[in-house]
Amino acid sequence: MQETERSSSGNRVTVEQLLQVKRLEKPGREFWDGFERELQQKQLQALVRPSVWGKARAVLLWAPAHFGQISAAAILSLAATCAAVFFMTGTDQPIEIALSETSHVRDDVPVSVEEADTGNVAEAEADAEPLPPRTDFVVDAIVPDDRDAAPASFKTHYVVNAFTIGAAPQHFKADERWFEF
Amino acid sequence: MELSQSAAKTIASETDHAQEADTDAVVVQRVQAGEVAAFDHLILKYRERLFSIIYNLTSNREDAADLTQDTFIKAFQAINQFKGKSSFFTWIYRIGVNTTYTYLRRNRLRRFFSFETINDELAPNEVVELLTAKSNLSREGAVQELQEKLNEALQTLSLKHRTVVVLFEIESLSHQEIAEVMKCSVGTVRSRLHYAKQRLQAELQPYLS
Repeated sequence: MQETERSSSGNRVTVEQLLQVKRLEKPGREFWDGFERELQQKQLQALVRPSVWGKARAVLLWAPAHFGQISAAAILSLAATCAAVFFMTGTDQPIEIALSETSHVRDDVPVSVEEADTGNVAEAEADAEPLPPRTDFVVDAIVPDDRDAAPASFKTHYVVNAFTIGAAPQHFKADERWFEF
Repeated sequence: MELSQSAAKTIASETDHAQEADTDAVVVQRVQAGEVAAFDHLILKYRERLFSIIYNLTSNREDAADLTQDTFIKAFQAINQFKGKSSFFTWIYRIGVNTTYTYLRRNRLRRFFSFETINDELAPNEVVELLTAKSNLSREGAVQELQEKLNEALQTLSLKHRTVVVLFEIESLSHQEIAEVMKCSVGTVRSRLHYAKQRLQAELQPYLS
């Protein structure tokens, strides 16, 4: 340490003297003008988007104070979901149970409108019950005529892409019960 | 003689900082009371010092500007948590150092140096004259070469060693103040400083002999 603190009178430069050169690395006026502008923009952005910790803290502080409201909201949403299921399926049983237990669902029935339309499953259709026209599919999917009995083409109505016109998806298998959630 | 001069310099520095801390405390109270515009006063006061620290830690001008801005925003958002147990400049220096640490640890692989320009006319004559005499470069060239070499040498140090060197040798903080910023003991600051200078001496040997 003494060696590094020796003065430069003996033609030696010290580490401290070299480091002091770094004090001269200072930006100019233009830099600080840009700095102020950017800082103002960031301050405004910070106002609009609170920090992650701010959000978390707000939730943690808010939740206990509103525990009753949160519980009531959760119960109401659950009740609403059950009611929606009840009115949509016409049964008080969960969807997946109805699908698995119903006896009228046939694996040889085409499970998508595409398959029925293209005729690729003509063989399967040979033994199948005649299917209603396409418009009936649409109607059945939205408002079943007979809410007490599951429709013959019940499987079809749960296919997401059942209403599109086009070739049957290559990946789709007739016996794939992918509509079970 | 040199030791007494160094001690006197440290004492004077601490006295100045103590007075500065009192002034800052008043401004901070105004900000906490709702006068948010008063925070601009603190920004103007500390932006150059804070930028200098962060720049010397990162050796990148653009990153230092971004990190300095982030530091002020964090400080403003947390201003109500400042209880006055330490001085404001210690507190904001700590935020700046920690913000820089986080950034450097996340971007270890991405390290681009971007240096500030040095006004070679202001460079210490003794140092520059000696360097110019030893090399075939002009005065300006000698200063630029030294600048690059200094930044490279600092980057060979660990973050903590680099911080103590920057705060002590460049920002002229005392050992006690550095200990408060880095949340360590004064003894730890001294030992880190000693080790860091030894490493720098090895790295800068061509410029010292």
